[in-house]
Amino acid sequence: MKRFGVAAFDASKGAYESETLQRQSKEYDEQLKLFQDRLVQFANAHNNELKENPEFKAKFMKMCYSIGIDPLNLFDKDRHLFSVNDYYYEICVKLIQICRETRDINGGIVSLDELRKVYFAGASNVTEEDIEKAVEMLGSLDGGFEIFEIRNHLKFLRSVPTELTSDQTKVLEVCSVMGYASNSLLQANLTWEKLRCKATLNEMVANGLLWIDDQCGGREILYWDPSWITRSTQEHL
Amino acid sequence: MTVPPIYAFPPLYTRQPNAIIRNKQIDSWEDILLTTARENGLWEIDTEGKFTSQTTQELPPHLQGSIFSNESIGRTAPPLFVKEILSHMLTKGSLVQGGSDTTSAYLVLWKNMDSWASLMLEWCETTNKLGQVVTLYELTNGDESIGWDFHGMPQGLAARCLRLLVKRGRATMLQDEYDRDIAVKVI
Repeated sequence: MKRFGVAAFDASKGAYESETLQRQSKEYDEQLKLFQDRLVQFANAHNNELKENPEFKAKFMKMCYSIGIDPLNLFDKDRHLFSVNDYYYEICVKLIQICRETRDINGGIVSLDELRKVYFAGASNVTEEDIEKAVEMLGSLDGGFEIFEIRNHLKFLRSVPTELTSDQTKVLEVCSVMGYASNSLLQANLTWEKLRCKATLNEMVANGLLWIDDQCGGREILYWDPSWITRSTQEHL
Repeated sequence: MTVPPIYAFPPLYTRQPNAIIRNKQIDSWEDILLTTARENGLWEIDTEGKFTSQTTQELPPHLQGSIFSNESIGRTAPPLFVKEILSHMLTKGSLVQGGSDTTSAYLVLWKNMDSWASLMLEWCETTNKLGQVVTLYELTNGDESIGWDFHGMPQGLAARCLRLLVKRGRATMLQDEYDRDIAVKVI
């Protein structure tokens, strides 16, 4: 039906509205991005003033935070932007956050690799060394954060106070290869007694470090390391 | 469709003995169910975890079976565990009894009823429907609700949400000769 007068606009009104809204929100996004970039530049240019005037610095940081700039992007550790320690303090805060949020899933053990690739993905300049240094600084808080190494190169961060036994560490080593461990795998690879395998695995399940899987073709129970979950996403990327 | 990576994690399909982990596991399942329903515009699920589609449009192949069964990794959550997950969701309110044709089906609420009611109110306000009689069909299937999240919602569920507006004194329901809700007037 052809409509006349003002009514003619009704039919196409919806389309115009959504188009305008989309355009506007895109413009806002661009402006916000630009503003964020400028703020970072500003921080770079006026570094000394920011460093000397704590009140100014606090206000500036608050502003950055409220418009969505990750503080980690503001710091430049090579040029001692602000004070170099601030950069590591920010990492510390992030680490505590991440560990708390993921503790129920991974039992408080997370690999540095996973931390950097998955959780610090937004802040590209964070290296494993930075994380290690931040963990060292956390040590003075006595919060039980500790880094340990398996297979001589894979580093893990432990955020729960219970220390891993060497047997548990060995199981994690096996898991880091296949994603899971099992009684027979441990018996074959580590030449452990059956009882030792069973006890270690069960304890790790009780501590929340491993998830069980009883549907592996009806043979035996597999014990999976939850870090597998994010590992598989990294492979997809 | 995006499934969270944990959907491919084999132990997700075995009920975890550790209670803390199991809570997390059940939360993950709830997340998977709600995300799937939202992204595919689905509203009903049966007691085995099979989504039913209201439209004639066929479900994507991976959703034709139960959501609790993942063929690509050969894992299926056992019926008892499925029951536990669904009853957890019922208690939390993200699932409610009362699918359309069978008594054994659940409605999936990927937004809670209050949010749905508010959204419908918002729709009436934006499309200038205040004070007018709108049929439930118009509301859930009409051209004017395309692009709104409740488009495609079963009319029974829509009526239940609208009743919240009635309670708030913002709407009146109209029934047909069989006493079924067919239309609403929002004021």
